[in-house]
Amino acid sequence: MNCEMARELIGADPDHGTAELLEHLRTCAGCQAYREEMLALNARIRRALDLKLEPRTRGTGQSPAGGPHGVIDPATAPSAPSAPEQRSNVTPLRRKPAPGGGLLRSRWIALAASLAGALFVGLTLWLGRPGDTLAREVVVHVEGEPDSWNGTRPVEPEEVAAVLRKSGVKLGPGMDPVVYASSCLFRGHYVPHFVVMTKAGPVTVMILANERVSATRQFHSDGFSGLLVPVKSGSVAVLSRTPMQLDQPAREVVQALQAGG
Amino acid sequence: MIESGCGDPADELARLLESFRPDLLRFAFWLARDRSVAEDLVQETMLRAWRARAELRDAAAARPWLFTIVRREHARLYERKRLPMVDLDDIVARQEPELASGEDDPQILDLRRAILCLPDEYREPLVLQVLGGFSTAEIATELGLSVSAVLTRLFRARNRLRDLYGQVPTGAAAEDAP
Repeated sequence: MNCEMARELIGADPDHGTAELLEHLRTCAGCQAYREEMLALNARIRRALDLKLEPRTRGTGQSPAGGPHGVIDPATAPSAPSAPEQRSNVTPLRRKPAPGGGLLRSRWIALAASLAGALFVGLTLWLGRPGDTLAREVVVHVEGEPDSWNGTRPVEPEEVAAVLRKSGVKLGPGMDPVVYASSCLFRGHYVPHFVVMTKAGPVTVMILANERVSATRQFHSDGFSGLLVPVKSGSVAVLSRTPMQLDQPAREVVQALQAGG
Repeated sequence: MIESGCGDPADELARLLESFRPDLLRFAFWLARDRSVAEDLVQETMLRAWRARAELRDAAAARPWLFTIVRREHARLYERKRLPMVDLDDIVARQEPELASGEDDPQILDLRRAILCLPDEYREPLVLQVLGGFSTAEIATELGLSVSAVLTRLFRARNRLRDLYGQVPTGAAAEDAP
């Protein structure tokens, strides 16, 4: 077992270890120190998670659930109170129809404006939602490789080719210079994970040959902005850490994929 | 349903469920990051557990069983409605009273805030492991992931906290151990 594997195991579960890990720790002072630190951190995490939350009282004089020891027996529990009925002997006022068409027209305009506003808000929320599981997993994956953003020098074409070969993806020309290239295990498949240096800054590209999306989807999560774009064989994820237009880099990747066949 | 030596089994179960309420509330809070949602999740969990009480044969299995129900209820909540995107600073600010509960060590309070800000993918396995006592294999089953994926997420979760929180003096382990 090497130090990298040992530290991943320690970081994942400092309180336990395999025989192989323990054997490694006997001979590696660095990993032993790392384990000590992780044990200390874990003890603090345990303490931090141990919130002392007192159940709130709900003002009914009963336990919160209303049943024996707070647990409702559905067979015996009273049915949930229905919404208070509208009992009133007061006739609701109705507005008189407007004498002229002007007020009516302005109401229609107001209604149309409200609908347009609601549509805009809905569209904005839809576009700005955290994204589906795939988008979230892409972000988590990218977050796990912070060093990928540090590259500035173009990666050798052979290295890019090797990454593509491993994933069975063919890419034609037309993409911006690749400054990071890695073949990453993502959802059980090796996928090309590139960082391309565009004029606007570095952009991460993941070619997800095994993940299909029905339509182009924009997402924002954990400070990342991104696009998931459907392609003939799967999808492409394009992400940046800074707000920028991703349509162009996404288009270039899609064109390069098409050119690669 | 669990059998007890004496007393009404339904009463026994009710008492058992109630004894786990603080643990469940804590767990639900770390999942949902919202006290009110957590309370609702626990309430729903109690109800579902009561309805499914025939499934529980062994009182010793009650805790992981209840944790699983909380987690599924939480997942169901996400299925039912797409929750709006939230600002982490807002979450922390809104939950400050909960985060401060029973603790006055500023470093632990910072750590609580940092845990609250972890992405779900990292926070959930960490809480299942540390608070729920689930093994890596159990977490993998619970989350529908491979064991190696769980190990990676747990490793990254701790490393993030380590980065945010800074290096922890190793003597703190003994000092903080329960």
